[in-house]
Amino acid sequence: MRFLAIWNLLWFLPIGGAILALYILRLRRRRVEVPALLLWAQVVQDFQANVPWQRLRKHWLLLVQLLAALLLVLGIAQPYTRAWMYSGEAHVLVLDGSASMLATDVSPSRFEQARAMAREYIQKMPPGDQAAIVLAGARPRVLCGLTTNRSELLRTLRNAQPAETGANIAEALALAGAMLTPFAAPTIEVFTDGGFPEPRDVDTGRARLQYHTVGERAENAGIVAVDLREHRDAPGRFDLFVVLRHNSERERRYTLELWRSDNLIDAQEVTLPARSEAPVLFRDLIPSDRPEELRVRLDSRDALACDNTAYAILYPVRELKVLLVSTGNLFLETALNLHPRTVVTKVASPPAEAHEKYDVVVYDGIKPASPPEGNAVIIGTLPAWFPVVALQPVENSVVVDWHHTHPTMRYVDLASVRLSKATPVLPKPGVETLVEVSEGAVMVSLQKPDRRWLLVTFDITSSDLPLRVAFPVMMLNALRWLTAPLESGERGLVPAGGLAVIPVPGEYQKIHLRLPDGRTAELNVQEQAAPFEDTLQTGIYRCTETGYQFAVNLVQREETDLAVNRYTSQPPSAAAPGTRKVLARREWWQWLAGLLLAVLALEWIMYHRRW
Amino acid sequence: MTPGDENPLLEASFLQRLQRLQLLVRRPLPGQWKGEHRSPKRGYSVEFADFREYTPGDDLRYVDWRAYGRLDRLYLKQYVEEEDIYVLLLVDCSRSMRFGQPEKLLFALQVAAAIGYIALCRFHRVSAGLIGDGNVLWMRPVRGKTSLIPLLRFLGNPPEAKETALPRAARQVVNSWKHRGAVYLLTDLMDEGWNEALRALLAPRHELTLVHTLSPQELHPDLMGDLLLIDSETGVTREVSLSPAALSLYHRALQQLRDGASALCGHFGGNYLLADTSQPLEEFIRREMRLRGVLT
Repeated sequence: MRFLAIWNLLWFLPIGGAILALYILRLRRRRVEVPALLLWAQVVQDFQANVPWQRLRKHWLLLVQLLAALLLVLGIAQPYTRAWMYSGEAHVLVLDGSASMLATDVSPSRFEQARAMAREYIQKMPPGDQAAIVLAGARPRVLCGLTTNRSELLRTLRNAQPAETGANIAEALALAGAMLTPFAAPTIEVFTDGGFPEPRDVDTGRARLQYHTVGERAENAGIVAVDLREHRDAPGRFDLFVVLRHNSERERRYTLELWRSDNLIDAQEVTLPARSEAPVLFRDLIPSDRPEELRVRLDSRDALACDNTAYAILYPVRELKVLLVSTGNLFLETALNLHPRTVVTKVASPPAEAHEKYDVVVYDGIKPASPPEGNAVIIGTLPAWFPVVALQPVENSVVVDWHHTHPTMRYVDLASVRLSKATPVLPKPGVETLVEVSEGAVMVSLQKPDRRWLLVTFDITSSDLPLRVAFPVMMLNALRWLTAPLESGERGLVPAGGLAVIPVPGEYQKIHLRLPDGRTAELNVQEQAAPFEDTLQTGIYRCTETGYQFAVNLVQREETDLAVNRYTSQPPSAAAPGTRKVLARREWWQWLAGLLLAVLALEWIMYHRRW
Repeated sequence: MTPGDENPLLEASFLQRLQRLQLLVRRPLPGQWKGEHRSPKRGYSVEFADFREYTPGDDLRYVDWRAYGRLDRLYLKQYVEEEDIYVLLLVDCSRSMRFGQPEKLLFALQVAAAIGYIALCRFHRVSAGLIGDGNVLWMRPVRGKTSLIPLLRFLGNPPEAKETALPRAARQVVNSWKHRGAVYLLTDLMDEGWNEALRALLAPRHELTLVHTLSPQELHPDLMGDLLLIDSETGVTREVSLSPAALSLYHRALQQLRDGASALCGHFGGNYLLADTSQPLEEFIRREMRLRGVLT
């Protein structure tokens, strides 16, 4: 054992001397007259302290105090030993903060176990090493940057909380890898239940990836999909669609309750075979004149609670006013009229302030003079102000691809649609390609907080698209997508961790959003919309000023499954020395401080018991 | 005037209850006058003791004529003599006896007065001696109930003494008091020469009863911590740090003192009684002393 400050050992001389002096010096004693000292003779002989050596003889309290002084002096001399220890120079601790970490299959929860493991890791880190903490939720967040301050790391760890969202581990690992770029042999420690596909393609640079797995397999059932749609055959009636999933190895029966504004209005029993899922439909929900909260509750007590309830908002319905600016297009007019609540007005030229009166304006072959103030579909023409770059017109081209997952392309098959004439375009940033020919995009979309535009660069009559079943479906989808911020059904459903854009009509600069747990968040308004991305809790969010509501649901199959995957550690992908053993200094003063506290406690007990 | 009116030592009602008691003295002790205690002398009571041959001059009334008829020799019948006894009450009046709550000296004087009154009721000759600073303050022997008032007056004015010097006082008692009798010593034995003093008193074959008078503060001292102990008699001081362990040493020393005194008294046919001054006087006299065979 060596000492960092060996000269501090000399402090024992004055401290010990002071203790001895205090013992040797006469104490102020209480005078007590006794009948005679005859019976006290033995006591006086054993406990009298007239001379120093007698006073100090067999005085356990003195010995304990000298021991405490010795421990104190040893502590401030900073003893250390040299030991071979693992050193990674820098460590990023990635904490899985997804909903599955809230599972209570291990006590008190998976996240608490992960927190305990991370705490132990920090405490055992070699001195001088740096560490950072990243919370892997829907978006990874750096809770604490690289630091050698263990107190700060432990405090950050203590305050870390999981969210009711999915986990984007790959992004978190990439972030951790980027943080560790300057280091030679860093490590990334992932504290997780492994409820995600193994992220093999993530480049973590020189970092060595180490998984610390928590959790056991636990039975769980949850709602993994929610949707609210207007009934196709009965306008004004809505169907609430949910998908129930469970991971049990046996067939089980569940009860799903539908609550509308705190009133139980329907319940369905669902029997799920082992490890399966099933859709459940609650039909014929008629909206009232105000937004109402819909809640589907799964009557089941399992390891994860936040996926047992799904939320939706049932908004009032109204007519959809569409202005068709066209010289005549039967196909288009028919397709637009297919929607039962759509009222189509046809004009030859666009009137002034059309967007204040109509929800959607469709420009068929007529170029709007200026960017429309509202939702618009522009067909067969290419306005100069639209953020695309026009390419050379082409003839007889064929659709080669389309954006399958875009809402406008739902149930739409555009395979081999032929275009006799088209002007392909190159989208600028912010513009999303929906349909492509081999030369470029022929249908794009642009979304702004308060308006949405669709641009079809070819004349639909010069293609076989109107003859396809896909055309009316696509137009219906387009109307629904364009009016989504206003229409009921599609609006107000946000996946947990997703971005919610809150429309804010009027002159508000700031709005307040009431969260499901009762807290309130203040949001800045930009261009009549307030983006909010901290949708970390499932439930109903409500804007205090405008009354706008939206529902956040977990709807993540990976989270509901509560799978526990024990991934093996991965060596660094880049050439690096890896984790190595270094001859490091291990200080012992903390142990001495603990021992000193114990000795002081013993001294206190001895003093009060008069040993 | 009743004795209780003049002296606070004993109450009149208590004195009445004491009249039924008598001293239990085991060994025959010579007396002066006819009394109730068995004497080593032969005399003229109803209790037969022995025969002896007739010698001229003997009273012919005590010749056993039946024996003469059978043996043709003259034998004289002898009877046990019953006499009074000499009772000596010795009370330690040193400074240490003025300790305790209630005070040890007062308790000892009350016990001495009670024993004295019981003895006077049985027509024994009662003397008293108050010990202080190695000297004995004597009261002449008195007899009969009417002597109670002088006895109480004497016991009611103990001398202001400092130390005990018990061996010197014992030697003085032995030299001054030539009778064999029942000696009642009331002391706390807080003297290093207690052993020597007891041996001196026991040597003349007195029947010694030691009433070891201790206060509850001495039996169970409530002292703890760093103290400066002052000897009340000598003024000597000692520093001690008292703890439960130290107190156990004190208790051991006290027990050794009691055991030593008791063994010594037992060895010479005496009695040893521990008098805890916290117990009521009447309970001590009527219960404790009877249980220990001092009174009957």
